[in-house]
Amino acid sequence: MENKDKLGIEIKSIMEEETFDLTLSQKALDNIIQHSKKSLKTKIREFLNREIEIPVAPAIIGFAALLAVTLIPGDLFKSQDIKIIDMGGSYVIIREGYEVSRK
Amino acid sequence: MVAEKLLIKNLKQGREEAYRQLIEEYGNKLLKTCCLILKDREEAEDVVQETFIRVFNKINTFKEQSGLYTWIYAIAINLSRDRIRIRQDILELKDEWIGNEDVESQVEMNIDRELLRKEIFTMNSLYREILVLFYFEELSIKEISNLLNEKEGTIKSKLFRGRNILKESLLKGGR
Repeated sequence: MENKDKLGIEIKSIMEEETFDLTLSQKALDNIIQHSKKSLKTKIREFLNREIEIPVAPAIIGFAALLAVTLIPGDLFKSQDIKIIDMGGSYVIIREGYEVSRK
Repeated sequence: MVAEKLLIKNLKQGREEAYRQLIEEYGNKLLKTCCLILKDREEAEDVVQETFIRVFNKINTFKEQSGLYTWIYAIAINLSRDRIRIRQDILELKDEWIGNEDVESQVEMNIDRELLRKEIFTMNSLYREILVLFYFEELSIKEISNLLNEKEGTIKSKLFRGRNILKESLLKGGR
């Protein structure tokens, strides 16, 4: 089934002769472009249906960071401001940020 | 390959210059192939238009498992087949089959070009389609098989039969 045998060469040659002057008309080209323009509705539908690829490693790191920020209390690593006053051998410890109220 | 990937990306973004580039690259070639299969210039042009419109509208569903070229040709061939089916041009394979398998080795003939031309365009389009893809487009059996989604054996068989039909006719000096 060689395509270079005598019959094959003749078939190709005849097919080329039959089509050598065939070109797509400008009208056809314009028609294709015109019909291929997408409407706003189509664009929105495509946008909503589009596939997105999320790289796993950065996504996991990002998710873990988000969890850490939301779950860990903000003052966990904050050093407490403590004042110790020596009053004749007795020590009074004053912590700022704590409010003690009595009803 | 890189250029094709970029073209696909631009097509998916709906860029008009990418549309024009694709038509420029494949338009005329596709028109010739469709014209040879359909034997009608106007119908071939309609098929090419429909093919490109379909390609541009469905480009986002193209998974790039085959080449862009193969995908476009598969659409064009299917549309051409639909047209032929409408014309009821497709005959049963068994009706068309000429059974002398020795012809392939028998003939080292002086080819009557006009007769061959006539036979190419009057033979069953199922065989002509394969002859066009194999000889005119110079696609391999494997490529044709991928394009038409048929087994390589089936393609080989159709090609062999198509050649035999032509050879038989040439031997007989026309039907």
